[in-house]
Amino acid sequence: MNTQPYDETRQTILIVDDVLSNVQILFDSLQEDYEVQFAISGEEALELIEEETPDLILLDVKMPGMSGHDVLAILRANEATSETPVIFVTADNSQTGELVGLYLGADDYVSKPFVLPLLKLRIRNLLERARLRRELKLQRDHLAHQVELRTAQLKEARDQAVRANAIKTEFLTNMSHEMRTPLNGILGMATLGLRRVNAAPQEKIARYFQVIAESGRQLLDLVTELLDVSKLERGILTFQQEAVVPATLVEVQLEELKPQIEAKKLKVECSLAQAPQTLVADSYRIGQVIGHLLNNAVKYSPEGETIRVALTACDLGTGRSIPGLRFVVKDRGCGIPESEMDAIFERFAQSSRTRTGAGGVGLGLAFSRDIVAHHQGQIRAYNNTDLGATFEVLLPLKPQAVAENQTGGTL
Amino acid sequence: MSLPRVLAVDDDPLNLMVLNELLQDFVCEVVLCPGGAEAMQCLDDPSADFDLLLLDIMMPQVSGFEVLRFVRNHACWCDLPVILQSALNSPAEIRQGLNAGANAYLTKPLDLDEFSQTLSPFLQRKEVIY
Repeated sequence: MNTQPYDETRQTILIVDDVLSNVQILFDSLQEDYEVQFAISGEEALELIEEETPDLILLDVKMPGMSGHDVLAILRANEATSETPVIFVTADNSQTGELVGLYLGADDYVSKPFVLPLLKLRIRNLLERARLRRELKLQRDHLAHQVELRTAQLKEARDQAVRANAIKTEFLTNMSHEMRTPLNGILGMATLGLRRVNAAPQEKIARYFQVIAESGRQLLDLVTELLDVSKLERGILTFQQEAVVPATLVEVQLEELKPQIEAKKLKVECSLAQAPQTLVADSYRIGQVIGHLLNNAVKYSPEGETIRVALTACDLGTGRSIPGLRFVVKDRGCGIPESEMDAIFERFAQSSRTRTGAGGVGLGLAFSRDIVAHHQGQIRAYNNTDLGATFEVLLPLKPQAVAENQTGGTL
Repeated sequence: MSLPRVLAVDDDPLNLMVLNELLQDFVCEVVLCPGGAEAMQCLDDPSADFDLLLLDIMMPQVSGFEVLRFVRNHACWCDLPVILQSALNSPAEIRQGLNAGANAYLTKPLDLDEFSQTLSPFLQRKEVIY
């Protein structure tokens, strides 16, 4: 009986009949097109099916022991075989027999003696329908998977939008604070001045004007900062390349911060002796970066503390030498939560430890990072082991493209 | 009889000057304070004597809300009148400030008349200025 070699691409039909001669007829006529197995009892059939589910079952009804009806009931109750096509092939040609068979869930009912070509067509059609059903199921599963994937993507996008919105709201609150603070100085002093212009001594009125002018400058600085960031984002911020003395940049920025430093009785330990003599960079922009980092340190250090500032030479190259400078500001503030180390350099972001009270619009560090990146440098932050945070800027003394051209090398 | 003493707290030095000037319309002695931590230090001094606290909210390190909580939980200062003055000006923020135990809430830029009205229950206005 076993003549065809096993071919796994062919579909499998299981014949279940207790009469071997019946099995023989079906086996011979089907094995040309299908992989055919057989069982001579219901019990044996179920064992075989459990090992591997056939694509179709030809099932006798009347068998000693388990009947075909019993077998079908078990198959339909089992998830793996609930949809496997089953054709009853039986000597019972009564209408009742057919009725019961189909009622129990058989896909078809053929009574003996059967017309072989007709049976073959029924088998073919059932297998085709089963194949389509399987394909449909696959597509449905695939679709479900796609939907799941897409839903996850949409959820991520929504989360991102929610985060962006929260950052925007925070930015607007901070922006409002940053504008209202100097406006309070301008409007407060201007209104007071108007009321007291005749009665107050001239020195007092002059002091009002000083506050108004200083507040106006603060507002202007804010507008300039916003405009710079906007220009940088649109890629139209231009950078100069000029020789500058790094130590002077630091000294100038410290001088500008003198009132705040004195107001908070801060000490500044400044080590500039080891600084490189010249740096090729945009002095205004690098000055802004240094000023911003110093300003943060002053703003976040408690009264009476010491801020450490250092400017040293260093080598930024790995392998070959790239002379650079290292600018370090060590504050005594509240430090930065480790989870926010990268985020603080993002636009509009502020550390959770400072955002509640500090004001500021959250652009300074992002802007500084971009300026430093334009100079092929690096900016990073880390927490001190005892207290506060350290910000570090690494800059090549010359932009690398220029240095390469001078030595005739290529990038 | 000694003058009523006012503690004015703001991290912005210019705004602190504005407060100082505004308070000259009132019979009082003004102590200026540049931050929340400093204000708490000031109030923790056993010899401290204040009759009114003018408090900014958005300040680095220690915010006005923290100072307010400190004051309300402080044995000596739980009844001290506190007027918040802040750039935060949304109704929700004002409600939050009053719920936190402030006696009044002023938004920046400060309105001179509103400032006078708000302070008048606590301080006596000067008859003649200068």
